[in-house]
Amino acid sequence: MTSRSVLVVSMIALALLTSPIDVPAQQPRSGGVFRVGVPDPPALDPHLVVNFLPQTVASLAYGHLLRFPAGPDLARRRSGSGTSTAPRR
Amino acid sequence: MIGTGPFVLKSYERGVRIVFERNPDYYMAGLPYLDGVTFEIVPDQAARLALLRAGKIELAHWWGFLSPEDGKALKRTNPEIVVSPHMIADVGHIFVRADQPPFNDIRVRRAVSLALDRKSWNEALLFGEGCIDSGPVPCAMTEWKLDASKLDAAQHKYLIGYDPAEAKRLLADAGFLRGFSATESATLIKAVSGTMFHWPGFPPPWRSYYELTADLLGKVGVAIELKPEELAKYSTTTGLGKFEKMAMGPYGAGVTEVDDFLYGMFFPEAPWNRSHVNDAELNKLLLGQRRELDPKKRREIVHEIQRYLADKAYYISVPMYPRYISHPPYVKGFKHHDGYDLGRRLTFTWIDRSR
Repeated sequence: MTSRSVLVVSMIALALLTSPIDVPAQQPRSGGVFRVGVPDPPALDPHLVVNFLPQTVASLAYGHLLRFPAGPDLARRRSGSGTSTAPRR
Repeated sequence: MIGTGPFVLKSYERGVRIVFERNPDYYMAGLPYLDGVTFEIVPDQAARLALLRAGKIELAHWWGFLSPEDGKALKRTNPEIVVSPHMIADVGHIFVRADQPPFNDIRVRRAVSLALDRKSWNEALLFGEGCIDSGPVPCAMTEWKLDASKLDAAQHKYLIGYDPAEAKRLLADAGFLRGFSATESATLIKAVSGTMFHWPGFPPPWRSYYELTADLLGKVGVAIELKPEELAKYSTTTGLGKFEKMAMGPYGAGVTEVDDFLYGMFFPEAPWNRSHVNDAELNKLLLGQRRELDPKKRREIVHEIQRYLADKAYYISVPMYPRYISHPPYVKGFKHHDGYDLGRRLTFTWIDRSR
C-alpha cells in the first residue's frame, strides 16, 4: 500500500469514527401504548375481504416465520446445481 | 387473533376501537418495545388530524400518511411534529369497463385521458410536488419505470397529455358528439354519460380528485355523476371491477412488486383487473415478465409493456404525490417501508417522552 493510499484510508476511517450520523442517539425504551386514528375497517379477517385494511390490522398479529425460495434461487434448486441461498430464520 | 406476530388482538369494539397487546411469546427476544397498539376508530380525517395535533394519537392514518396540504398545515401549527415526505409505490386512476360500450372504444378512453390537465392539477392540489407520469408503473419504482422521454411522443400523449380539442374530436369520431363542428360550445351534447363510483373515505386529496375529474371531463362532453360508496361495498364490488361504466381510486400503497401493477391490473383473471382488460398481445408480455428469471431481460419486458400500454388508456392515470408521514417527536424508531405490514414497523418502534 502506498503512502497516498494509507493517507486516504486513514482519512476515511477518521471520518467514519467521528461521524455523528451512525451513532444511535437513544436507546430504545419499553412500554407505552401506540395509538392510531383510523376509519373502521370493513372486516378484520384478511382471508374474507380483499382489502388493505384487514391486512394492515392483521399484520400486528401475523408474522413472517417462513420464507420461500423464489426466482433464480428456485431455478438452481430445481436443477440441482446449487443449494438455497435464501436467508433462514 | 393470535399468530406469530409481535402483538395479540385483545378486543374489537366495532366503530370504537381495536386493542392489541404485546405478544409475550414473540420469537424475537425483547421485542416489541411497545406494551400495545390501539386503533381508535375515527372516520373523519379532520378529526384525526385534530387528535394528532392534541397529542391524543400517534398516527392519523394507518401508516401515518398525510397529503402534502395536510402535512404542510400540520407543520405550521405543530412544528415539533416529525413530518417526512415520502414517495410511495402506488398509482391512482380512473378505471373503466373496457369490455363494454362506450369504453371498449379506444377513442373514448383516449378522450378521457386527454381531458385531464395534469400539470395544472399538480399545481392546484399538490403544490407541484406530484408525479404526473404516474402509471402503470408507479413513479417510486424507479428501477422498473420507463422514463417518459423513451416513449414515442405520439403514444405518450394518450398517457399524460392534455388536449381537450382532440378529446372532443375523438368523441365526435366515435359518434358521441353531434353538431360539434359548427358552434362548439353551444352545440356540445354530453352524449357520453355515466356514474363514477368511488369511496370518499380515501384520505385527502381524493375528494378533490373526484370533483376535479368530473369538472374536467364535463368540459369535453363526458358527463359524470359522482357515486360515493361505503367502504365495505367499494371493497367487495367496485374495487374489484364490479361496477358500471367508470370508477376512480388509488391502487397499491402496500404492494411491493412491479408485477402487482402489471399482471395484477391487466391480466384477465387477476382480481385487481378493474378495467376488465383482455388484450392477447399484452397477455404474452405479462406472462413473459413473470417467467423471465434474468433480471435484465425481465426489465426489458417490463419496459416493453410500458411502451405497449402508453396509448391504450385502459386505466387513465392521475397525478400521485408524496405522503407526508407524520408522528409526534416522542415516537422513535418508526421507519416507513412500502407494504401493508404496519406490525413490522411497530415491532421496532418505541415511545420516549423524556425529552
